[in-house]
Amino acid sequence: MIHRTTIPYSLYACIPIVILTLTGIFATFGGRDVIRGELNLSTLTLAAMVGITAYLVGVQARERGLALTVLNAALSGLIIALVLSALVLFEAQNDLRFVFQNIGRSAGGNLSGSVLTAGRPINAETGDYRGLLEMAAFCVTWAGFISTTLFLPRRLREVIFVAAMLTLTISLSQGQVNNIITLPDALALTLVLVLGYVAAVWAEANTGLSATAKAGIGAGLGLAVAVGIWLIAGAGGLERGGVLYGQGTQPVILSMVEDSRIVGFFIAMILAGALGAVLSRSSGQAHDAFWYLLAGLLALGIINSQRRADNVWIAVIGVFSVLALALYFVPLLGKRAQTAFERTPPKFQRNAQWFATGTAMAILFLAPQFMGLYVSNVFNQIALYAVMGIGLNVMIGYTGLLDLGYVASFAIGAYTLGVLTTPSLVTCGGSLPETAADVATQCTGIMTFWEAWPICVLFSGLTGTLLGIPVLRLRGDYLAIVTLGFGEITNRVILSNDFRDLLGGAQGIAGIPSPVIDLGMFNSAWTTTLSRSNDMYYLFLFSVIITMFVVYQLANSRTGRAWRAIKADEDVAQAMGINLMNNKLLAFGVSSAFAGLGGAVFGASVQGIFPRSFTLLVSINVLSLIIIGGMGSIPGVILGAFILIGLPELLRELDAYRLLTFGALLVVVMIVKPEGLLPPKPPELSEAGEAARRSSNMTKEAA
Amino acid sequence: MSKGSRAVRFRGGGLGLFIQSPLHIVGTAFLLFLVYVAVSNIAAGDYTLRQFLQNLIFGLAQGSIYSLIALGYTLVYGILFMINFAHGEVFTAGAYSGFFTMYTFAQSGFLQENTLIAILLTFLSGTIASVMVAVALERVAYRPLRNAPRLVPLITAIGASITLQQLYLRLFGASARRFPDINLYILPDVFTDLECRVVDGVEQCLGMDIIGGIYPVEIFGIALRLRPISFIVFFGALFIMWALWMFIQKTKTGRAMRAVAEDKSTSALMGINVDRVIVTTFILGGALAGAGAVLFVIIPGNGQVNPLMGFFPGIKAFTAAVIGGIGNVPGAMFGGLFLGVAESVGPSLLGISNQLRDVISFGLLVLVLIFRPTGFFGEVLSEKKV
Amino acid sequence: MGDVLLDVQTIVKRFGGLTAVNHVDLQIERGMIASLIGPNGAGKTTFFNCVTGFYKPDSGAILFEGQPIHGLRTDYILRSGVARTYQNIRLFADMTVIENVLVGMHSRLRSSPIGAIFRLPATRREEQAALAKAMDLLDFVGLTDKGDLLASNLAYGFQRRLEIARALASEPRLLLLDEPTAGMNPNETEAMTTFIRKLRDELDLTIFLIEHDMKLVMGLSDQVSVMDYGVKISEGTPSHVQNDPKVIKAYLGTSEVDEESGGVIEDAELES
Repeated sequence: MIHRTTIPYSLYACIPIVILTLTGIFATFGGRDVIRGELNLSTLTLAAMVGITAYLVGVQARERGLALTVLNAALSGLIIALVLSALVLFEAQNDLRFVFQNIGRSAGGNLSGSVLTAGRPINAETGDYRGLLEMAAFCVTWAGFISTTLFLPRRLREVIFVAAMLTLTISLSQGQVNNIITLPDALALTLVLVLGYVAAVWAEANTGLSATAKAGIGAGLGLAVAVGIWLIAGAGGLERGGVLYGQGTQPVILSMVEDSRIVGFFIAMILAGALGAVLSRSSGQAHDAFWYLLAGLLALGIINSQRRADNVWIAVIGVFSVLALALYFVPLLGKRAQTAFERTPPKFQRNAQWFATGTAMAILFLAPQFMGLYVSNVFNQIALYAVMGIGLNVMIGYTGLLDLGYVASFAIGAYTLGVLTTPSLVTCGGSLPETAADVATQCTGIMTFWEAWPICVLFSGLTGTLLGIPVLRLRGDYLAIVTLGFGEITNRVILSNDFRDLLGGAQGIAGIPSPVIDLGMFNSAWTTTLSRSNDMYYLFLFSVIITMFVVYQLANSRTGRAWRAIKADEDVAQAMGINLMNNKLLAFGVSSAFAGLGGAVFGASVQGIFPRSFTLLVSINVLSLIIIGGMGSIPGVILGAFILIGLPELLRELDAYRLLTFGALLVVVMIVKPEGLLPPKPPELSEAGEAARRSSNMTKEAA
Repeated sequence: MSKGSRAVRFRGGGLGLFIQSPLHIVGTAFLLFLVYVAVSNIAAGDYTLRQFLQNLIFGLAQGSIYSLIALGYTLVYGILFMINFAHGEVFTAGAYSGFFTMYTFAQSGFLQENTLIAILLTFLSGTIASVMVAVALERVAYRPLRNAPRLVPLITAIGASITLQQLYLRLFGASARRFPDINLYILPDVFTDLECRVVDGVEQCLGMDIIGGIYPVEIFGIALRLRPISFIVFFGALFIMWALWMFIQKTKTGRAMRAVAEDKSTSALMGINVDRVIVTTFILGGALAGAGAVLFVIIPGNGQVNPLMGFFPGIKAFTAAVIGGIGNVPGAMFGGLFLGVAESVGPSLLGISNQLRDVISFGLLVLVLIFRPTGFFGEVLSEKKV
Repeated sequence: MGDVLLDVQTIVKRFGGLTAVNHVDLQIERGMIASLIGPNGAGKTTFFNCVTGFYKPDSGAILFEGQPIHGLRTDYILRSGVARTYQNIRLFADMTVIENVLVGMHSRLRSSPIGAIFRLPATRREEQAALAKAMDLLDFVGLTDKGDLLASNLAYGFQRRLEIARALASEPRLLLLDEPTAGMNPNETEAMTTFIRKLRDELDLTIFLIEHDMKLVMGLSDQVSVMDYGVKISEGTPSHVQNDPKVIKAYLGTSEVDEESGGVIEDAELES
């Protein structure tokens, strides 16, 4: 009746749960609401712990039917509850605060009062232990409930799980994301896309129209909707309380019709309609990506419209439904679109891809205008780590060289920029002043950001290559330690007083000038300083694109093949004629160059660099996102950057547990899924090969 | 044929050595530069024999602790061919456990009454904690990856290291904890002039304080200030290493360990329980690290316990293991002592600041890897690793 | 004497106290299929490793087309025209079949990283030509339509063939095969025999192989060399070697065998 694994599994699960409890996780998270006034992070954490355990226990007992599964799961919940209660009671008797400093503080025992007692501190004097009972009841019920989901179809379960996680994440970071887009904006976009899509599908079935003509219909529908919106807006629909205003903040896209941006609005709507039509027969990836994006926008729109609502559940349920529906139906439609895509002539395929890419670029380009400073700053962080991740991936993912001193190249890039662009007593464009006080008034940097940037990249690449020379022959683990040493040495050097005049010592280099885009020679108004984060965004975006481009091209070339061969088997690779020294040094150089690129942009964006930004943690962060995203995979790294850098930026309060999670993730991913979330796809060269052979035969015959 | 037989001796190793030689030149030049700096410092009288002796003794004590930790790396490497990156955190566990035990004793007054027993119990608790962490690591993180490609367990080890560091940080707080002062007075009849204080008008002499004390000594006319604890740590560590050596050489388990290090699959065929041998290895490594940790915090001046304290000793001990030839037990002992002395003597000899001590260890690591990648004692392993 | 392609002159390779290859001389003429046989642990693979640069011989010389190649790095040796396969197949497991072949072509391609980044016309032409050639090679070894599979997902026999294709991609003049039929059943072995002959005939290769299957060796080889305990004990045509008492002794550990029975070795090997 009780599965033999139930009790041991539950007890194993108690070990990390107890340890985490002692770190004060429930006390730390207690003050943070996930759903305003309804659910706090502390409860969610306990629910997750119990849920995971119940799930694992349930999987074992599943064959024995629903009732027994629930029983086993509930038992596991009960065991956890008992262990936690024992811990709470024990702590109430013995103050553990000296040993476990973060454990929390509360009347009737430091652990009492949090979610562990359901918010009701226990009281030994009055014998009030209701809090513990409530907690136990919650654990048992929740565990039982979770185990029932095991009997849902697998896909449905996945959809619900992912949608719930995303909903909670959005809800948790509500404060940061609720100003991005309004519901009317999102609905208008949805309307246009859906119209275009449906029209194209209908035309597909009922008419013989060409693909281009269908896109034209979509565009026309987009135009019609735009005109409609313009008319409604003219009738006052955009005023506060109007049809187009909704309950949220002022619409960002729709309000374009009221001022000089109206042309842009019409173009956007027409493009959206055409996109809808094209998506009905585009590659599955592009199809899914755009619809998911739209679902995300709708979710953000709902959050925006409900941000002051009394009933918080409307927003939560709304977001959850939108996401769940999208997650469920989009892949199904995507398959359909992919089939249609494969039937279309190659020329249209190419054009469709270009169109999709172009639209994506346009969205990326316009995004910071809507995101606000905070969110664009988050995007900048993600982009920075994506650049470094893709760069480091050349070493780790492609060539198999584990570099733990990547921060050295990052620091070299940033400091090179600092030295070259920022005036100091040593570096001063013009005559050297007498005293430090005069530097600010008399000096300019030696060069501008744009001149210094390539130098930073080259210099980082060069030093990276040089550092690579002594460690060329070392294998995995030795290399890791030596590079770690390089990172530490770099950190000591920039901290040390010996180079203080040049590198600023512990104070770092402050006042790095922001990059200036100066097109004054064409038009005196065309000069901007990229100082705010949504301006710097473009620099970061540019860096990511360059990095992706270069690494992608290299990876799919003779050099990239050599790298991967070296990773697979160094000796055989050499015996196949690959020059290990050249190829490894090239990997070192390319990898470091991108760290330098990132470092320079980083320095310019924060306008000041400090030694404490260049510690081992940077290397570890980059390593983690590569490992979790997928070694040797560019999309993997970008996903990794979103998850590991973006999420924690949005959930700042959880910072205390950020590195702990990273470390644990590294271990878990390596054991469970060593290839990462998005492993690289092996290139499919057969078709290209056949084509190449045909064309070479043709040339031969002609000759 | 005649042309060929002349070619019996090779031309200086041929092109195969081409990568190595410029490196050797750079390395040699760097070494010569270091020697030049050192010699000129000595010639200029900036460096005295007194400083040298003082540093040497301190370095040997510190180095013997490195040796203890390095043995943990070497034992694991010898058997699993992986660097247990989290070994530094095993060390930290011992330090925390030792700290809490000693703190309790100090609070309850037990320390003052039964100092020796308290110290021994502290060792015990430190060792047990380290062993527990080491064994848990092996079970949770490393065992599932026994046959994975080399990079995988290494990354896992890095992850485990971060996890443990952060756990200590969250559990025990970020603040450094000060290890209680310990005074252990011995032989009041011999050292009648030490640690004297006036109590109620009567002068009392307690004898030599072999843990907290620091005394002026004159050797060959050179006045030194020495701590007895340095010698105790040094000889204590030597004793532990001797015990380990005996264990590996003489016991059945030790022989099994050596067999597994030689060839895992054959050993398994011969009826050796490889899993158990590996766990034993981690237990030994953990115990050494735990003992090392308590020795480390007992030295006055080192006595800060904090979540990140294991990281640098860990890295340095690894360096020591590499210097001695990783996988080689006497090598690790030698490497630790060598590194400890180099680190302690180096800065003042080269006239650089003490903060650059870490740079010296890493510099040594790189130099050793350039000139002798297998370390000083590590010929055996070079073929096996490939 | 014909045109000597590979000329190994009294090489010695020691590991600590063990002399794995002890003063071995060996010549292979262009166009031959030569075999190296011997009991397990006789030093055959060590000998191969010396020729291909994995080991540096302690003394002696190895000339390929008259040029010394001993002591050179493996990539130089490959470039000079010697390619090999491995006893325990060593493919690049995470790369596709085509990519494995393309890696084999590495030394014959010129394109630089800069060319790759900007996809310069010369690079593109070279890649196209390389792809076309890789497809031809896959057809030649019988891996048509398997180009996009990961090498690790191929069946065992196909992995052997892919390893040969990878070696062929480097345009060698001498191909060293280390136990090409290890682990194969008689049918597969038969196919491999035909295939090796086809290699020599159609590609003008010289082939040097280590093999345990005596039927294959005796049926295929122009010249057979026998090693035992690091020493070459016999060499000549298959029939010569089969009748050499030293060889029989090495295989059976006794000299009491009737010297007339030529088929002894073959039987002994087939049974094992």
